[in-house]
Amino acid sequence: MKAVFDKNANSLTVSIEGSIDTVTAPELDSQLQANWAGITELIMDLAAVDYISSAGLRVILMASRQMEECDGSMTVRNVNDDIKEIFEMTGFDSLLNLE
Amino acid sequence: MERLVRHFQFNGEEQLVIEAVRENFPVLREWIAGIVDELQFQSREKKQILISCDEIFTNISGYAYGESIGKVSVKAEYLPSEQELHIVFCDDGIAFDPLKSGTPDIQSRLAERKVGGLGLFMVKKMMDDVVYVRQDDRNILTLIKKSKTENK
Repeated sequence: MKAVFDKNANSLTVSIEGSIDTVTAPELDSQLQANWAGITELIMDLAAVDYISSAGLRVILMASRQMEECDGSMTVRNVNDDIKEIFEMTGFDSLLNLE
Repeated sequence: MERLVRHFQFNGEEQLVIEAVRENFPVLREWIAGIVDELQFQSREKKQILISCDEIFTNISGYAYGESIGKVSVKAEYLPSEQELHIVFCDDGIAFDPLKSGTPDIQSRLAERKVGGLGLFMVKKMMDDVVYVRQDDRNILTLIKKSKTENK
């Protein structure tokens, strides 16, 4: 898994590549936390994500919750069919702002 | 009549045996990914299998042995007549039947949403069958996935 962070004032775009699994999800989480300060708009770009397990869903949920708590917004962008299926299966499609 | 079963070896061994710690998951993932590619499972099915292995391995790593570190062994078998891949996880940890785990609430609002239980819920949805037995103080869990691709 590789995550590229693009910070622009209060906006942070995270482009993720590879799989978000039991090993890589905690890495993604700590990288997110390191870039978190002052962010009120978070965009997660999943275009290059292969698959996501529940450990990855946890990171997305926590990020979404954190944005809500600071009155910010979070958008999940470029969700492929396989990941969309996971989001629908787990009810995440109704929680997240998918674009 | 005896069923034809193809057993997959790991580095010349009958099964993969590793310590049940999350950091070891890539070893299992690479092995299973190679088998699934060889059997020409479709891309979507491959992801479902890898996610399910992730969830089961993570569960064993997190809960089977409490604070101590134990081992998990994994066997992979393919039944050509049924076009089924069987992945069998064994551990010596505390008895745990994942089939008895409750259904998570997938409707609640963001603030109340929990991830606990979601992994096993996903496994049950994505596999064609999941079989659990407790035998000789071991947890034996079999994930079964049918291939939609012909001619292996």
